[in-house]
Order: sequence, then structure tokens, then C-alpha cells
Amino acid sequence: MALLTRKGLVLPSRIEPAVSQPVVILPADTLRVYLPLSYTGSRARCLLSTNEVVYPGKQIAESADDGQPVMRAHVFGVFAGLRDASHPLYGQLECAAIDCMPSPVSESPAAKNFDKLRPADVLEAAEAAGIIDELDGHYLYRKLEEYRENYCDLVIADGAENQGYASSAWAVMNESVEQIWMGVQLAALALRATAGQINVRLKRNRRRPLARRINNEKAIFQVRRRYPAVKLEKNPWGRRICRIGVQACLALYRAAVYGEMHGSCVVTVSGDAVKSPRNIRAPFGTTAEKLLEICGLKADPVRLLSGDVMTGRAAESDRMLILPGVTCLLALTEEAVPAHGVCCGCGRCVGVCHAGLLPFEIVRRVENMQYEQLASLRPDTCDGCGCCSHVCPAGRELSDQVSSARDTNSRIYSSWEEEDEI
Amino acid sequence: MRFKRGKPPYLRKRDKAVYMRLDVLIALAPLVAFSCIYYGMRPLYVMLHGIISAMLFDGIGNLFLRRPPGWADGTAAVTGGIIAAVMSPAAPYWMPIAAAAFAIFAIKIPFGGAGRNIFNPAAGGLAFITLCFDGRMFTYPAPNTPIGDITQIVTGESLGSLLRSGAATSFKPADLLIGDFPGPIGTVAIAILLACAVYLLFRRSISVFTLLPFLAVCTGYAVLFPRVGTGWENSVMLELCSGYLLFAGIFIVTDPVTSPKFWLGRIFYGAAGGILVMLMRTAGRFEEGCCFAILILNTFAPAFDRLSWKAIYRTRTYWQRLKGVRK
Ligand code: SF4
Ligand code: SF4
Repeated sequence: MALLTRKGLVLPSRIEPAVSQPVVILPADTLRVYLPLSYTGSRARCLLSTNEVVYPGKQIAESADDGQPVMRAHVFGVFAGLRDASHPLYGQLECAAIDCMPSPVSESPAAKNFDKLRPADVLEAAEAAGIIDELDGHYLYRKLEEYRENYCDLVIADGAENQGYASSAWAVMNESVEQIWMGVQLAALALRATAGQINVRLKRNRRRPLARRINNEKAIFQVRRRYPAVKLEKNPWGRRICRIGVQACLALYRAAVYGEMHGSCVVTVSGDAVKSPRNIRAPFGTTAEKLLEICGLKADPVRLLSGDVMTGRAAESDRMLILPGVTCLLALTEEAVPAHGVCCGCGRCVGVCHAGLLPFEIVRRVENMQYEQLASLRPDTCDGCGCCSHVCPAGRELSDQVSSARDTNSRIYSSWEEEDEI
Repeated sequence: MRFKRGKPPYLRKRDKAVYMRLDVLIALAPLVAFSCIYYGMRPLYVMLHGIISAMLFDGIGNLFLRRPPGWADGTAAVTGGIIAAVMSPAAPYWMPIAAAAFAIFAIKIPFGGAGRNIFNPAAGGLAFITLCFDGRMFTYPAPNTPIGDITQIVTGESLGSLLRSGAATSFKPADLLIGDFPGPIGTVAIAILLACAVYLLFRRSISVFTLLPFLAVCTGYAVLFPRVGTGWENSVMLELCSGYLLFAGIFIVTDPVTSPKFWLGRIFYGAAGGILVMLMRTAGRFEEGCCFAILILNTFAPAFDRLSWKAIYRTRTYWQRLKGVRK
């Protein structure tokens, strides 16, 4: 029975050596950062004029559509112009370039009393700080509001990175697991739910000290070793779960108690082209170039990924920006994708699919243009984990095709090219 | 600096499809070697004729399809190897060549070549030879006599024909294990066949979900409907060791391209294969009709896959809803 139920993969762990090094903090002081005018692709007008001074919390753009969150700066600096940038996660972005300066304010703001915070305060703080959840790239306050309306019983901070390279969640937890745990409690307060646990995938010697620091053995929860860690809407006891990234939890705590903007994130810079892999706390809007400079390159990278090896997206150039949602930056030398062949029928894609699909069959339907039969094969339940492509000995692009079948919702494709014969 | 794009995941397993075919060829090698001990070098030559001609025909067929010749993918070599392994050690050299030609040109290439064929090419080639040249196909030389001139061989009665005639058989289990009885090149040494099966299972080139139900159903059939009157143990032993049933179970029924990919589909497929093969044996015209049974079975492979998958998927979804895990 174990053979039938153990879906997914065991990926080789490459979190060393980044995981055992302290986090490098990249101060914004002398950098030029690029702040997007909008993350959602809606049109926005820049409110800054050249050489205008920018400070944390200042509104930098005005959205043309109603109901869009206000974009605020998180650094001190001078506005230096607009620039277009393409980002592997967000697509085309229009950004304001800002030359940063050291902060003139030296003392940190007074802390609010944690125990006196009300749910509304938490939501307000999340909106004002512009926190974006790194798990899914949604605004945290919207996510919380949605869960609050639809009722939820359990809040979980998700720091279970099990794709091989990324260790940024561990680095953040190592820095400040107490504050993350309080962030989970704040989110739970806002949702009127229980603060559940922090999901990790760590060895016992790394897990234990964390649990001791927050005085709660049960709060640090070890997820399964196999990739992907299955993400359920509800837990087996029928409790609805809200899942938030650990970095967002930390930002929520800092925002609610200290009123800080969500201005930086920890990024794992690794990959076989990187000389000394490190975790770096970088302000949003920094270019990947800067991070690679800190870690050094030992070979010319062929690919730059934003995200971990299994689900990461390839960036076009190293001028890619570090924005919320980027928790891992990989510079890889090797050509990972093997030659494409025809299916040899081994059935390994079926064996690893944790959604229980038949990836080869879905792809065959797509290739044979039998779109009407796609819906019954349920490509909509695929989460794009990439296990099927990983194991396919014929090197087929299964997960990509299944995802496209899912995204087109089984409607007939309208991708005829000019030279296609009909 | 500019970088290449591509499609995720960027970490791929370094497994290649050609390794699976290589495994099958490796598993065939000891079988031929063992046959050479009994009959001299002729089995090896039959095997080489099968493999080389199949690869040649595959190259020519790929030219018709306007593709580069696919020698390197190993499918043709496996087809030729399997065909030759089921030939009699005393088969003339043109027989594996004719079977390979039919397998490649009539079964494999018309459906689009390697990986797209609906029917197992080796089974098709064998069916062709069985239909056209059943006399030569089922003429087996007695073991321990190196074959020189094939017109002057000492023939022995194979297990299959003995079973058909219902005659009493006097083979000891030890003889069967080491293959000391008349039969095809690669299918008589039962002990080595089992070792090959373990090797292929261990390498994950064949699936246990197809093989075990197939053998279990064949065994069950032999117990329920024995063709010899000397007890069910004897019936099972003789049925499994005669003809190329065990060989077909390991090398042909489990062929990944033409069999289902979903575990439950594989179980049903193997079980259905067992029933069909035994029916072909008892009711068919030839002493061994595995190849026909497998061709019939191949047509249903996608249906086995889809139906069993739907059954499992619906049950699972139902359970998850019941437990509230899924909306
Ligand atoms: S990418 Fe989709 S189809 Fe492929 S293994 Fe993951 S869930 Fe299954
Ligand atoms: S893993 Fe690749 S070769 Fe194997 S069945 Fe799936 S698509 Fe075919």
C-alpha cells in the first residue's frame, strides 16, 4: 500500500552551505532601487517629480483603477526617473528609480503594546505596510479579509522549503522565530482563528532550538520529506486552513507593532555558478546583479531562476528585480532540459503525480487535439509542481502542457499560426 | 548579462528512455548464452539476424516517415531480440528477418514509429510467422546436440505439443529450471528467466503490477482447468514452463509502450492478458498463441487506463469530500 500512496519525489538537498552562514544584510543606503508603480498590471500614474525626496510611507503612485492598493515607498532617497522592467513573476512593470540615502531618522519608532492590538489594527497595519505574501504573491490584507469572510479555523506559517536550494525561510526563522510566531498569532487574531503552527522541513537539530525559543514544542511542525508537501484546503479534521509565508508573518508583526513598511526580504542566492551561496536580506527593488556580486560567480551562468529549481521561473537578464515573492535566486550553469522524445510508456509520471492525474494522457489529448476529452481528465487539479517533467525519461514537457491545459480551462486552443495547415 | 529561458522544472532526473531498452537487451543476453550451451553457436546467430535486420528495417521505415533513423533509441533492437528469442534454435535465418520486417513495416511504422505504436511489434511479427510458417516455428531440436545443418536435426517434442496431445510428461522440475527440454531459444531456462524478471523489476523497466497478475491468472487457470491428469502442481508447472508464456509475461505483456501506465489499469491488463493467453492455448489452433492474445489485449490498453483511473479518482475524491479535506 505504501507503494501506491507515496507520491512525489525525494529531491537532493543542496541547502548547504548557504544555510549554515549568517544572513548578509544589504543596506539600502547607497543602492539604486526600482519600485513598481503597480504589481497587479493595472495602469498607474507616478506622483513623483524628478529629484523629489522620497521617504518610507510616501505614496509614489496613483492607480487608474479604483480599489487598487496604494503604492508606498519603503526607503529614503531621491526620485531619479521611470524605467520599464520585466519580471519573471509579475511580467512587465513600470518602476520608479530611486537613489537611496542613509536614513536621517536614527531611533526606531516606539513599539505598540502587542496585547492591546485589535483585529482591525492588524488589517490596517497590513494594508499600510503593503505586505505581500511570498507564497502566492497576493496582498496579505486582502488574503486575510477573504479568509475572514469565508471563515477559517487555523493559521499556519509556511516555511517548508523542500525543493533543494532555498533556505531563506530557515534563515528568517533563525533570525527571529519569536516575532514570526507572534505574527502568526496576529493573523489568527485578525481571522478569529487559532494560531496553528509553523511548517518547516528541517533536521531535528535545527528544529528543536526553534521550538525552545518560542516555548512551544508543537508549534514547529515537520512536514513530509517528499516534494511537494501537500497543501490541503482543510486539514483531516475538517478545519479550514489559512497559509501564510513566514516572511509575511514577520512583516505583519513588524508592521503591527512597530509600524514598519514591508521593505525587504531574505533571498537565498545559490546554484552551481555561485561561488559562496548565502542568504541575503535585500531591500525590494534591488537588482539581482547586486546579489550575485556579493556572492561572486565561479562560472558563467546559463540560467538565472527566480525561485527554486522545481517551480522557479527563468529570468531574462540579471537586471531582474528582487520583489516580494522572490525568496530564492539560482544561477545555474548546466543545461537541465534533456532532448525531447516520444513517450516510452514507463508510467513514472503517473506514479509521482500527487494530484493523482494521468499527465501523459492529458498531454496526448492536447497533442492529438482531442480537447473535448480534456475536462474529464481533470487538468484543473494540477498545481504545476513539476514532478512529472522531472521524472520523465523521455524528457517531455509534461507539467508545462498540463498547466496550459488547465489554464485554458479545456477550451479549444486558438493558437493557430500563420503557416499552420488546416 | 542575458540568460536562457526554458520550461520548469530546471532539475531533471538523468534517466533516459534508452536505458530501459538497454536493460531488456541485457536481460536477453544470458538467455541466449544459455541456449548456446545446448545448441552451439546457432542461437546467437539467429539472435543477431533478428536484431540487426530489425534495426535496419527501422532505419528504412524512418526514412519513409522523413525522420532520422532511430537506431539509437533501441526499440528496434528490442523488437528484433524478442522475436529471435522466441524462434526455435533450428529456425532458418530468414525467419527472424521476415518476422522483423513484418513487425517494423506493418506494426510499428504505420502507427508512427517508436513510442506511438498501438500494438507490440514483436507480438505482431510473431503472429505473422506463426500463421504462415507454423511448421517451422514449432519444430524444436532436442537439447545437447550442437546444430550444424538444420535439415538434419534431431527434433524433440516440445512441452506445448505434449500438453496439447494430453500425453503423460516426464520432465523433472530441475530439468525445467535449467531448460533441459526442447523449446525456443530464450524461453526454456526458467531459472534464468526469473532472474531476468527480478533484474528488470529492480531496474523498473517492467512493472510488477502487470507481471504478477498475469502470472497469477495463468496459474489459477492451470489449477482450475488442467490439461494433464497428474495433479494440479504438474499442470501449473507445465503450463508456465511450456511455450513462451513466462517469456511473454516478462518481455512482451509488460512492454511499456503498449501497456497501461496506471497501476490499477496494469493489474486488470495483466489479469486479462492471463485469461486471453490461456484461452488461446486451450482453444486456439496453435500450440502457442500468446502473440495473438497480446495483440488483442493491446487494443484495450488505453481503455484499461482510463476506466480504472476514473474509478480510482472518483473514489478518492468521494472520500476526500467525506472527510472534508477537499471542497
Ligand atoms: S505538475 Fe501537475 S500533473 Fe505534473 S505531477 Fe505535478 S500536479 Fe501532477
Ligand atoms: S514519464 Fe514520460 S515517458 Fe513515462 S509515461 Fe510519462 S510521459 Fe511517457
